[in-house]
Order: sequence, then structure tokens, then C-alpha cells
Amino acid sequence: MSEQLLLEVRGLKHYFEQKRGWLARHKRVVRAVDGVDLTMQTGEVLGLVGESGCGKTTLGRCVLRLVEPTAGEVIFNGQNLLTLDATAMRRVRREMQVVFQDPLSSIDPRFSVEEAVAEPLRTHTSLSRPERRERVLTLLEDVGLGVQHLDRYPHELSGGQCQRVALARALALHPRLLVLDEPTSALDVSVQAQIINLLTELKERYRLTYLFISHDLGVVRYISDRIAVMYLGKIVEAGPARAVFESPLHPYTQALLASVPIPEPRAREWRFILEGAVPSPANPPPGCRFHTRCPSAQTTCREREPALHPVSPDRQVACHLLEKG
Amino acid sequence: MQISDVVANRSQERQPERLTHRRLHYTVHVILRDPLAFFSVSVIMVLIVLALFGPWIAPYPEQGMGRTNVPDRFAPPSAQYRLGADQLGRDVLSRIIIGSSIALQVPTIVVILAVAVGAPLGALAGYVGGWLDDLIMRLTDLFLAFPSLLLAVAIVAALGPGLTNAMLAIAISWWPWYTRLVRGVTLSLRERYFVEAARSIGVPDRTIILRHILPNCVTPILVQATVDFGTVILAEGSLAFIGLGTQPPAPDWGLMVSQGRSYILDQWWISTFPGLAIFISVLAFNLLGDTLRDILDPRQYR
Amino acid sequence: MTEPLLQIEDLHVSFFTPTGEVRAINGVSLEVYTGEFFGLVGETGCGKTVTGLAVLGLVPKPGRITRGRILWKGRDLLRLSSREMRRIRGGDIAMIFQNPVTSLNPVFTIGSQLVRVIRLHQGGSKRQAEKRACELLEAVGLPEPERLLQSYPHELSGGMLQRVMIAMALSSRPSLLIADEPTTALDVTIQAQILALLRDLQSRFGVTTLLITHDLGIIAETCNRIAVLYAGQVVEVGPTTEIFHRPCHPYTQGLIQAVPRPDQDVEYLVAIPGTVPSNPGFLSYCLFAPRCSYAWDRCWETQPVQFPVGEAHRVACFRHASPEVHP
Repeated sequence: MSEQLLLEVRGLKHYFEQKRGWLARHKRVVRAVDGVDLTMQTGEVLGLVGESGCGKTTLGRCVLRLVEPTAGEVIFNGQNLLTLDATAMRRVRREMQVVFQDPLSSIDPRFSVEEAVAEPLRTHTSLSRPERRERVLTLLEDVGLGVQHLDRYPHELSGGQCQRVALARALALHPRLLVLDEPTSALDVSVQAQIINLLTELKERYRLTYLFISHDLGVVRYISDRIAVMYLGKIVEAGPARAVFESPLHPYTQALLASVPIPEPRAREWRFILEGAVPSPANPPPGCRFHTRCPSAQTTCREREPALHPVSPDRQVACHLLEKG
Repeated sequence: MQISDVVANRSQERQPERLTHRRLHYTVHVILRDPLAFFSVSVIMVLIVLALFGPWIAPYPEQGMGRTNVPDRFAPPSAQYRLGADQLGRDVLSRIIIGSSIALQVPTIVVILAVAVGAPLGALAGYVGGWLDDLIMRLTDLFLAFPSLLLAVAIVAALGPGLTNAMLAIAISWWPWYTRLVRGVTLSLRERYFVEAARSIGVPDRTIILRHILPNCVTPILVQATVDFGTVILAEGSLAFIGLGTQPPAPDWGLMVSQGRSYILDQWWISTFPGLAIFISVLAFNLLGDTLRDILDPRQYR
Repeated sequence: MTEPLLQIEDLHVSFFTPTGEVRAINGVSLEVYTGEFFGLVGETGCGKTVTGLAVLGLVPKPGRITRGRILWKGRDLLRLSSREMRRIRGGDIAMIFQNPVTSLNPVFTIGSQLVRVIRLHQGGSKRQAEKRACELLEAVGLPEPERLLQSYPHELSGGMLQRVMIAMALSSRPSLLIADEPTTALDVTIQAQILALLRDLQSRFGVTTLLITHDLGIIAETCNRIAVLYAGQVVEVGPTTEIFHRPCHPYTQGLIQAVPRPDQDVEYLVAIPGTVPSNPGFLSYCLFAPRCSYAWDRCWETQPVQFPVGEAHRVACFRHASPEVHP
């Protein structure tokens, strides 16, 4: 496995203001991403999981610089993206692409499949129209579609087919990193399986690296090499997928895994239900953000925020209970 | 290849018909089903025919253009003058027919102008936001603060009466509506995934607005423009009515209504029939707008 | 064998759109017994939501029930007058939907909406209704009910709102609660809370529950009997454990194999090839045949009916039509 670090994120923060109340009297700061460090090797799949408000989607957008981070560094292929100007950024965008959750609305309803997939080619290359069409056809074949889909429109396609088109478009410029933001959440189970198999196949064929953002733990376990669990803007646990799933260390990860329903009756003897709701990211609890719902919360947890620290060569947890000494 | 594959492929191909065929079929269906839609489409088709072929259809085309025929002045509706003759003996029917070309030309030009100016401004304001948005919106607020007709009157009064100036004046008072409309649509489009996807590909903002935002504004613009056709006919007619639009002897409907005012009690047909023509045309365009909205709503195709 | 509480017999529902007739439900038959937690599972477009709506007579235009009977405690609901049906709706049979935010009116307080529903079905003064509302809110696990009555929907989280909806549904002590994807819009940890609540209410108040969902995990963990829907038909019905451990219909097998599990490593996800037929109601052969790896001649001739394969376990598949199962 290549040891080259494709992506390194350091201290990433994204805060934004939200106006509340009549006539926008009160402003509050929402800390969507609050100090995240992570790394990705070429060729791996990093699964990013968490519930709503945890910041995983925002983190994905920050990595792609679709939103401007408030602080931190995003080092892609050795370059800090946040220092690049618009022209340089445009060039880098060829190497990092995104696939969104809602396949139907991720393609312009007025664009045919051919136009949609050719858009990156039009933007970055000087291929002629017939040359673009050739390339589009190859891409469509790669994702399991064919020449008959060239002049279809999104609303004439099924969800699964739309997602394939989105994938073809994302691959048009031979990117190295693909950020997949809930790519199968809007799809039916049977179609989801097809898309996941396709993703795996494409990854092998083109040596892609995936940042796979999802709330579906089953899918994440299947496709990821490593995973990172987020809660309220911070990573609380990270490590190899199987290890984290089989022996979760952070209480939130444990609760998450215990809450997910398993498609097998009576597979689980015990059921741990996590009380309470996720606090608002505009007003996170002091100390460890999870302490309000944590069954093992101690005094330290209320006072100091735990840092993400390694508990073994490849696993990290942000929890006081696991700190040595 | 198993039977299952063959059938699967076949059912796949049979599935999505071409967009145009289905839409055409649906359009015809809607028009034929709904009496109001049928009415509006028929009226507008008649208007177009009249506007194009007026000089060949009108019984007295030269009178339609303005040649007087004083001996027959005030002739009531009869076999010779179907809708009567006006105060200068001209056949009212012919004048209405010839006048239909003005009635269609004016809104066409005005709406095209208004959209050409208003829509890009709206898209810019909505997409870029920030100070540009504020600037453009304050400008539109300024224009919208005037009652539109009053503004048009003021402009024509400054420029001098006449059809061209009237069209210009109406267009100037009309563009802000499109800016507002397009800005609203742009704001909602900006959040859609395909715009984000375009940005992630590295498409420059200018191109996003031109190729993604504006084309998706076409439907709401079209619906609004259709209804505006009617309103502009009314506005232009009003300007002509007070003498600030088309000048005599042009067969402008509003002008005809105005000139027949003094005779309304005894020779009612001089004002009434042009007035009816305005009414029916405006109604037809308004109804067409509703029909268009039903036809163009892509959600019908799911 | 006791009489089922709800019995749907050969239900057919069509939508008469301007572009043609769409047959959403093509012969659904199932029974729900008192005290059960019954699950209706299937993918998008299989007709599960429409089935739930049909029971309450809420199929939206241009849809219409074209055939079949829906027997509720022995009476055919499709033969009732609209007044009688209105009394049952929200009264004896209650329903909660997927997105609680859109189910509640944002302009009125929770209290006023709850009170209105309570008084609609049970009468009584405002004070009595408020008291009952507080009891209900407590029963569904919401703290400080008196304060909640004064709150507006936008002040509560999705999970809390869904609890309010459940409280509203239970206010008339219904015999059946239909829950249409009640947790799909909620986070996983909240989902677990709501599902536990539903099971708890079922055992405490004896509310028979019909749960509609696409999530096999939810079905496996909460329901004791399930029906699998495909293209508007029931392809398999039976006890949950039976169906998961011995799935007989190829579609059920395919579904189970296509779902990646969070608790196990799965070698390879087996995807079901092909897609759902676009207008299945007009086909005369087994609706799953085009995608089925076992399909043989008989499958292309007629549609299978439900054949028994075990204890209260039925499958609509010709492979199980007779003692000699075709290999």
C-alpha cells in the first residue's frame, strides 16, 4: 500500500453566524466543524460517520473548499489549498471531486446526460465536441450505462441511474480524491448495493481515494478501510473500520453501534438506548461535548475537553476515561 | 442471455419516452381538456393570424390603416360595416384587425427588453449576493416604488408621445419585476446540488449563471411573461388612451377607445368593440399563463 | 384461530393520471392480529405507504381503490359512509407519518393542536383536554408537559415532535396505530428511542401497530410478523424470525443479501439485477420474474398466489407451489 499521504487536515474549523429572533436581534455562532485533524492515504476509503449536526457534511465541503474554512489547513498532495488563489484552485479541482446525496438534483434538470458528464471536460480541456462525446461514452460504460442514455434527462432516469451519471461526471478528469456525501442514502436497498459495488470496482480500477460520508453504519463498515466518528464538530474516535466496529472505545461510538437496528431478529441480546437529543452546535456543552448524554461521565468530563489522542498505533479516541494517567 | 435479461432490457427501453413526445402529448391533452386553456390558446392563435395577415383579412384595410371615409361616419353595425364605423367613417372591424399587430408587437418588444435587462440583473444579485445584491435590489426598489403606469407616463412625457417612446417607457418601468423574480429563483437554485457540483468542477461563476441559473429560470420567466403580455397591452392602451402612446391615425385599440369616448352614449360601438378586444386579449394571456404553468411543471412527469 | 383485527383482501389501487393509469397496488392481501407489531416492508414505489393510506381512506386523488375489501373488526371499511369513516380515522385507527415537522401546524402551539384533537374525538372541556394532553405527553416520555403545551413546533427537535405525534395518535385510545416510516427522518440514536417507545406503548396499552418502513433492520428488531411488498403485491408474509432465517421468495432473499450489516463483515454485496417494472399492474406474469434467477416457464404465464410454506408463512412464488419444489 502506498504510504503517500494524499490529504492532511489540521485544526480545521468552520464557524458561521446564524441570526435568530425577531429582526435578527440575536446572532449566534454555529461551530459546525471545531478543530478536526485527519489524514488520508492514497487508495484508502475513509468513512466519516455521525448524526445530524455533527459536521461531517461541512467537513467534506471544507476539504473541497466549497465553503471557506474559518481556520486550519487542508493539505492536498502537498499543497495547502487554503492559500491558493482562484486560478490555482481551479486547477486543483480537477483532482478532487464530489458526489452528492440526492442524485436527481445533483444534475441540472435542463442538461442531458451527455452535457452533464461533459461539463468538466468543457471547463478544463479543449477537446472538440466529438472528442468529448467519445470520452463521455467511455465514462458511461465505466459506470454501467450506455449510448442510449446520452440524450436522456435526469427526470427520465431512476435514482440509481442518476447517481451513475454523477459518478461518471466526477471521474471525467481522472481525480485522485472523491468525496462522497451520503451517495446511497436516497437510493433503495437493491440499487444501493449496485452502486456500492460499482464504487468498489471503480476505486480499484482508477486507484481512487474515497472520503465516504454517511450515517448508514452498515454501508460504511462494508466499504471503509478506516473510519472517523464525529460528534458536534469534532472527531471522537478514529481507527480501522473493523476494529472500531467490533470494539468501539468511545461511549458515543458504542451508543451509536448499539442503536443501529440489525437486519436479523434477536441478533442482539442487549439494547442500549442513548438518552436525550444532540445538543445544538451553536451551543455545545462545556468540557467534553458528549458528557450530557454519556452514561460514564465524570467530573473531568464536564470541565475539560478531551483531545484526540492515540490509544494504539492506529486508533485514536477523544475521551478522558481512556487517557493514561 | 436469459429470458430475464431480454425482458429486463425491453422494459427498460420501453420506459422513458422522449421528453418532447411526452410533453407534447401532455400539452395537447391539457389544452383539449380544459375549456379555459382551449379558449386562451384559440384566442391567441386568432390574434397571431390577424396580426400577420390583417391587411388581407380586413374588409377595408386602408380604412384600417387610417384612410377616412367621412360620408359613412357613425354608421351603426350592419352588413357593410360589421362592427359599425367610427367618427371618421372608418370600419371599426378593420381597424381592430389591423390594430392587432400593434397589440402583439408592443408586448413582445417590451417583454423582451424587460427580460433582457431584468433577468441578468436578478441572477447576478441572487448568485453573487453581498453588496451587489444590495445595490441591485435598492435600484429595483426605487423603480418599484413608483406606480408603474405613472412612471411610464412621466418617461413618455419627458421623451415625447409616440409608440416607440411608449414602448421604451413601459419597458423601463417593467424590468424590476423580472429582477425580483429571477433573484428569488436564483436564491433557491444556488443551494441545489448541481450548482455546488459545478463549482466543485471549477466552472467559473459567470458560466454557472449563464449555463445553469438562467436556463432554469426560463419557466418562471415564461409564465410571468405570458401574463405580462396582457398587462402590457393594457398599459400601452392606457397610455394611448391619454394621448401619450400611439398617435392617430394608427388603429391602436386604446386610442380607439379614447377617441370614441365623446360618442359613447349614441355611437357606443366605436369605443366598445376595441375595448372588448383589449379585454379578451388580456384575459386570454392571463389564462395562458396559468395553462403554461401546469404544462411546464416538470413534476408532472414523475 | 382468532379473527384478525384488520384484514386486507385483494386490494387494488390505481392512480388515474392524465398520462394514463398507474396501478400502485396490484392485489395486496394480509391480516393483522390484535396485539401484534406488524411490519410492512418494501422499497420505494412498492405500495406500502398507499396501503396504509388506503386503510384510512386517505388515498390522494387521482388515486382510487378499484378492487378489494378492507375488513376492520369484521366491517368492510370501503363500504362505510364518509361520516362513519371520519369517526374511525384518528379514532379507532390512528396514523403517524414520516416527517413530524410537516405534520404539525407551525402557527399553533403543541397544546392547542393536541387539545383540538382530544376534544374532537372525546369531547370534554378545554381543561380536561389539557390534563389528558399532559398525561399523554408523559406517557410518550416527554419531560415538563405543561411547558411543552405552550411551545411551538419549531422549538422542538424531530424526535420530540414525533413523540408529540404519537401522543396525538394515542389520544383516542385507538385499536390500531399505523406508523408510516416514523423514524426515517430521525437520527439513529433518536430512532432507537422512538422504536423502543412504540414497542413499549404496544405492550403497555395493547395498541396493535402496523409499521411501514424500507429498513430491514427496524423490521427485524421491532416486528413480530412482517409482509414483504414488491411492485404492489405481497410476495412473502410470516413471522419475522421465519422470514429472516428462511426467506423463501427470491426478492426477500435478494433484499437480505443486499443490505450491508454494521455488526458483521460481509464478503460481497449481492445486488438484485435490473429495476422495478415501471407499470407492473398491466403485466400478466410474475412481477419479479425479469429479475429472478430462478424464473422458469410457469413464472411467465400467470402470476403466483400466496402459497403456504410453514407456520403462518406464505410466499407468492411458484417454486413453493407444490410439495415437489422445482429446483
